Amino acid sequence: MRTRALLLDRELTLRTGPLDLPDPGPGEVLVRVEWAGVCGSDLHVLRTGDWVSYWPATLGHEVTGTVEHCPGGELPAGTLVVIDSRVPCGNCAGCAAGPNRCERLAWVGEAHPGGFAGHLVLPVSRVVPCPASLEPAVAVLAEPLAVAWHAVGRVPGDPERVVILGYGPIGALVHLALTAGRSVPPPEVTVIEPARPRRELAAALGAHVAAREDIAARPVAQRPELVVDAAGYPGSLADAVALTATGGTVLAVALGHEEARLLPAEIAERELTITGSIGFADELPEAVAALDRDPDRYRPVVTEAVPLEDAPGRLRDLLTTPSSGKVLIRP
Amino acid sequence: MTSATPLVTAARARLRDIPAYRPGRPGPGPASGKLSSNESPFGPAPAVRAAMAAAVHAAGHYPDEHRARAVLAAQAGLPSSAILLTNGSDELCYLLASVFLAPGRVAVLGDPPYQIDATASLLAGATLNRVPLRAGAHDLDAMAAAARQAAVVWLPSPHNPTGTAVPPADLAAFLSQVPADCLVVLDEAYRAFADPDCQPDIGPLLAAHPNLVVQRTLSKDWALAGLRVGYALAAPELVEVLARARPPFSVNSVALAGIEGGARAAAWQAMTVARVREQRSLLASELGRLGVEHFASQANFITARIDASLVGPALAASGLAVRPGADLGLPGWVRISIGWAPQMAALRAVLRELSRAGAFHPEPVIREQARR
Repeated sequence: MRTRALLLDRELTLRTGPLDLPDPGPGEVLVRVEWAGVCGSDLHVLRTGDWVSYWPATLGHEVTGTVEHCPGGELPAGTLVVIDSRVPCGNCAGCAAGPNRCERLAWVGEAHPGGFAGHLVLPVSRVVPCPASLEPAVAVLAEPLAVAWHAVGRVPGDPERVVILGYGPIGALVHLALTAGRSVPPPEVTVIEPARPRRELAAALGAHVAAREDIAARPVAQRPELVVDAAGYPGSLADAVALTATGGTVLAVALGHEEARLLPAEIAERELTITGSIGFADELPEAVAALDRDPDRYRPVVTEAVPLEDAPGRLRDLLTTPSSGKVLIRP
Repeated sequence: MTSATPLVTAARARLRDIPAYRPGRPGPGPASGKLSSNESPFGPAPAVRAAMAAAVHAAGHYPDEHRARAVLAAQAGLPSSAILLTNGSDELCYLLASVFLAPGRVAVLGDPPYQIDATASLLAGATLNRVPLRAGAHDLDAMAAAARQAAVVWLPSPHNPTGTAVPPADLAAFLSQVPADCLVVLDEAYRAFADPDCQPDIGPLLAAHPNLVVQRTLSKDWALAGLRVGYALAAPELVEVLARARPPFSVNSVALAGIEGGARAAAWQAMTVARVREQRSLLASELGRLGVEHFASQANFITARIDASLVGPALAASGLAVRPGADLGLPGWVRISIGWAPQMAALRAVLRELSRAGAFHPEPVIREQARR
């Protein structure tokens, strides 16, 4: 079938145009895209062309849509689904531990056409059905929320004081994941973020907002037990290490691409733990359920919705001027 | 067993001029497609929700509203004695009407009015003096003239159903023309969404005009529509009179806790208002581009001259619903509540599609067909 899609050429030019998709076969599903979210990794691909294995590429791995055709009948037409963005090889030792540990892990949009399009075709096993009560524009947050949920799950214990470096959508969702449905009192979350609209969102969602210097000036014992690097700027990981209380944890969720200058003796002497987190394990259904339970809690993370035809221009703008929150594309 | 028919017949006769209230309907699918009741798309602030959740355990006690009044008083820059809480601002309408209106007295209101103002006035037995709006705005000169023979003037600003706001200078001039024995009810349900220069400084107005009552609600920018909380700002003497007529525990303890939590919700409310204003601006620009007549709204909705029967099915296909103007005294128009970005993007897409199909400007299409 032919659908309308956002196409990224090998020369990194963006345009909308027709995209031919294979008809879904047994075990596959044709999904009509309702909304697709723009991820920071999409912007990295737009800048560099990294990770893409086919051209022209159609990015978009945060996707919610409606089942249009499922030849095997596993899902009825009209079912709202979110897609599992991971494309593991299925054959490596990492895959045995979980899809997000795959040694050759790829993502929808980079390995095959993604959600910045009217439709996409996927294995049925790579979509998660949603309750009919869940608003599609909220459901599209399931993938990044699963990423946040997975990251928070990698933190030992229940920190009382947390600092989040960077309050883009992942920083915001980590904040919400840290404070959602806990049996213990939620931690005090402080956000360090240079962009005013993002600081305002952090304050609206209940975080304290501070400058890096404010945290650095605290005695070590009063610093946060957990610092989340959701920024990924050059030096962000070193900043996170410096701001963490002795015995605390640094959680790296941003995909920074600059080398980090760390002093191993500091990490040893202060007994710091540095934890990485990529993608998600089995948190996607949990994220769908959380969004359905309390959509108002997550709705403010979405700040913009643009039609597919306007997406090339808007995405080019985002390369130089970050959005204040999650940008959604509507085919 | 005796028949109730004579009672019902008598009641119907008394209520014959009072239309039944028709609430906004949700769109098909998830209820968040409801752009028909001017609700907040984001719900109440986290601090408000937490305060309400914590208050549930105290539901066995009668409510104590002192702290909640203090919070709202501080926000308004007035003493607590200048505030009366009510079960939604609609209760305040009925309260004011029951105290200040009666058979033989006149209530002045715009035409079309906020429907509850008319209903409360009629229930009190008052005669309505409807002053037609001019381009969706109150005709203040005509209302001031009508006020000379009236007991109450209802003045929503921004107005519902048009969204127009009275400029503060015009409001001050109007108040100076209204006789001191005529109550002016300035309904500011949508104040938070108005431009700063459309938000009158209430303190000096109340000090200068003891016949002024300012009516507010927590249903809009506070997003507590389901809890039913409103309040009056007025001279303490007036508040004391109204308090005597109000049921003693009008506002429940969970709602009062929500108000107290609101003291820590300024950032959330600022975000809500900013997002609504941004989307309102985008919708107004789109309507302008499409050549669709609409009122310049200062509220969290825009009322546009669109046939509800035309746009309704197209919006329903996208899971959205707006309010037919016929429900609000504006047949041939629709009132579009401002939702969050995805809803409004979907709505603009529907409007563009209808425009391409010639729905808003049928005449050229007809002329084109006639040529063929």
